[in-house]
Amino acid sequence: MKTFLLPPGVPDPPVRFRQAGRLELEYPETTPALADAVSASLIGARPALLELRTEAILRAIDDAVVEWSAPGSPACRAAEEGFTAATGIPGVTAPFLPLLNALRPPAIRDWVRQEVKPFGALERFSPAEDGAPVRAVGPRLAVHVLPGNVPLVWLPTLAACLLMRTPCLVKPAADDPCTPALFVASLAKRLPELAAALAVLPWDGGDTAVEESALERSSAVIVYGSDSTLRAVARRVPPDAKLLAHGPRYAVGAIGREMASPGRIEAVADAAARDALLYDGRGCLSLAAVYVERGGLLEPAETVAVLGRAMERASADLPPGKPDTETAAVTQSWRARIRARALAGKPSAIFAGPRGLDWTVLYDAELAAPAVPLVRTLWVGAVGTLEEIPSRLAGCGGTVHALAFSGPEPRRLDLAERLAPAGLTRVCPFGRMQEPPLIWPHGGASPFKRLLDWARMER
Amino acid sequence: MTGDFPSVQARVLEFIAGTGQDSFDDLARAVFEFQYVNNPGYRRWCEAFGRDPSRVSALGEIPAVPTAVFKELDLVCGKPGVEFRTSGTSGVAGGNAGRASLATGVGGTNAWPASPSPLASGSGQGRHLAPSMDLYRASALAHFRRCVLPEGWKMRTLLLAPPPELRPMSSLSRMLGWILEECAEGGGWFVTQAGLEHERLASALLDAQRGGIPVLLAGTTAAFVDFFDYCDRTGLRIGLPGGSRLMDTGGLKGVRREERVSLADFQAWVYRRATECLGIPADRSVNEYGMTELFSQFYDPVLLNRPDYSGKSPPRIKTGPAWTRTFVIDPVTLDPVTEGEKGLLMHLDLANAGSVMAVMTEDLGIAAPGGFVLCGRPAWAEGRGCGLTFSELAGG
Repeated sequence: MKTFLLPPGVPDPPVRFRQAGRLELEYPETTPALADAVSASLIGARPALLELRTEAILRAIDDAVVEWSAPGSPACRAAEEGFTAATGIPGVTAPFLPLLNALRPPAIRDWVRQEVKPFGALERFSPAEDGAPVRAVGPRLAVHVLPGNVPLVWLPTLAACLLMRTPCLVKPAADDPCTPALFVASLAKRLPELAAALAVLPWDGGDTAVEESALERSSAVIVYGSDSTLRAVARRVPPDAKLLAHGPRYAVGAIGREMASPGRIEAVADAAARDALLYDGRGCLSLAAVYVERGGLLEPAETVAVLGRAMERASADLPPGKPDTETAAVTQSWRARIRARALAGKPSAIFAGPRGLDWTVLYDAELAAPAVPLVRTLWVGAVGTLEEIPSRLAGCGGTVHALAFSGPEPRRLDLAERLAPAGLTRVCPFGRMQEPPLIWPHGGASPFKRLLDWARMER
Repeated sequence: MTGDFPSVQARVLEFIAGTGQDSFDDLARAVFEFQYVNNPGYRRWCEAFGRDPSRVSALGEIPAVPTAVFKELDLVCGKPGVEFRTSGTSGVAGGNAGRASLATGVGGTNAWPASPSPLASGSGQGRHLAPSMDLYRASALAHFRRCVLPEGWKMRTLLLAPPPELRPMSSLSRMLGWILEECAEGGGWFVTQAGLEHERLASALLDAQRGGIPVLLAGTTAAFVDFFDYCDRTGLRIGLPGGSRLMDTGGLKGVRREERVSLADFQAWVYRRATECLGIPADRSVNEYGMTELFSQFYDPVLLNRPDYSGKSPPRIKTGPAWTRTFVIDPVTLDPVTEGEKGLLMHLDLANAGSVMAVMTEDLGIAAPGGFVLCGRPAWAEGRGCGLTFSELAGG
């Protein structure tokens, strides 16, 4: 299976093959010269891209989405095969289909209209609210360094770039080697202007010569990854280029005392377990911790047991992938620490699946910000009142960006008000954490707002 | 094993001295039985997994205590007579050793800030309690002599670590103190409350150079890096006499770095710097791997078999003493890994007879002939990002 896609006119490079599970993956021999040639070719395609109508681009995106959403879509199935071969995580297609639907009209048009005012400024000078003609211009070339944790999470930003008429050089992640080339091929076959303005080019992470060459001509870099990946890429971004760095973030949950009762808590626990284990718990919206308020019919220690049973059920539906050795080692260390605290008589408990690291619930009544990332682990803490949660999270440095909540509406609003200044950008019910609406400014920033330059015509 | 700690200790001391009648396997089983009976904290740990001596048929089945557990439970046979503490950063700050070893001094550190603990209570410091220091001293000195002073020499010894008076709970300081007392001919400590004494150390090294006296430098890797930076700042270059050698420990711990780097690459870089700044070749630079929770240590046996480091370096294989045995454990299943795979290092250390013999470290390694290749510690398993980082990144 091919992991790359080059624009027409760039000669086919020598290739090599790597085995990933049962799949044989075809990689290009990426050299600095190849990266530079691809960048130059993409920049050369920009004038034709600028001539495209917005509606034509929206239609191409929609056609690609329809192709991928069709039952038994070969492209979608192939992408999933590649993802599963690399990560061991099966069945990722169904969860990401809602994300694809969000890129279809009218949702995508509503999204762009909300982000870009006036909408027509993406095509030509158009009157702003004050009547002055304005024009929105995207970067000359955007390089996307993609994540491997959740398939297609990067697609809205790629779509935004195309709507900004920005050619895109895409570097797939090792854990999701096939999806980018397959989806970009679906887009490219709709319009020759898109085919010329899109490239998927893998290279080994840490190959600084290739990376420097690939980034050299960029005027925007969108990078997803660990802090060290972000730092490494950020150092090589040209000084005048814009950088969107999507680093580690996670989600937490809050359960009000009103919900901590038999008959109510079970559904919340099932939803929380799904939020924690979907995508193997590797997403930036994966639920890492839940804070349970005391004072309900069930004490937090009893609620933890319910969460444990829910994790066992959810794990059967969402089987584990292959954890990396380092994260597995850290997970075992925390399992041991919490078990030891329980043996020492502290208010701690561990619930875990019978096999390996299938799932873990770590309870410590005094939990502050959870240690992340761990393998398929949900931390649980107890709070006297929900108002304590912001201070518990004070040490996490703003890495919590989403909150799942179960409790009365006024208390949800109150907690959201308290957490928003610390970086919270999304609040949703349990069970919906992994289905963010397209309009959610992923990580708190819209690609349009971050990447567009505006020209204004004065009268 | 029936009997009290002195009789257990005596058998282990005989094993270390090479005068005992026990095989490693027999003695290890006996120590496990002794610890199960006499170490209440360890017995509770074993019971949590449904294990007791009657249910253990192979040495690898002896329940190992993860180093994280030393932060929560008292794990000692009988009354503790000695206590060592980790620095409290192991598990979050990187490096390859979890013992109290400061970068350059007592007061300061140049490490990356540690991740906040998710636990509001608890010190984060591991505590190694033991009835006495006798086994630690015997084990540490015997294997140090074998791996660092195989010629049987006594050398002028310059120590880049705080002395035990400044760090009474540091197992590293204690060990280096014994080395200074037992294995040295002159020398001293070069870290004070204020940090590494660069000028005084430089003066001592220049004095050795002038006098043609080989020296042993021993201390934390971070302290060596600090001194090499001082050499660069001042233009100091020393050519120490042949036979001089270096022993460093701690690896990446406490060393500021811009990008993630493998432990092997970092260590090779440190030894290139040692050659540039001090004139000590890589095949006389010995990395020690140890931790507070273990009374035995592991060394690169470079002074024993003198590998060729002039070209592509062979991997450094850590070698433990005969009274230890190391297993490489799959961190997912906690079963032994298949040959050649990376996993968690689990050690059986008879010198730990007074506390816990079977210790599961947080360090990753690969089994190799005669020992293991240390891959380092997953200081923090890195998050995979798709949320926006607002911080300093935009500035590059």
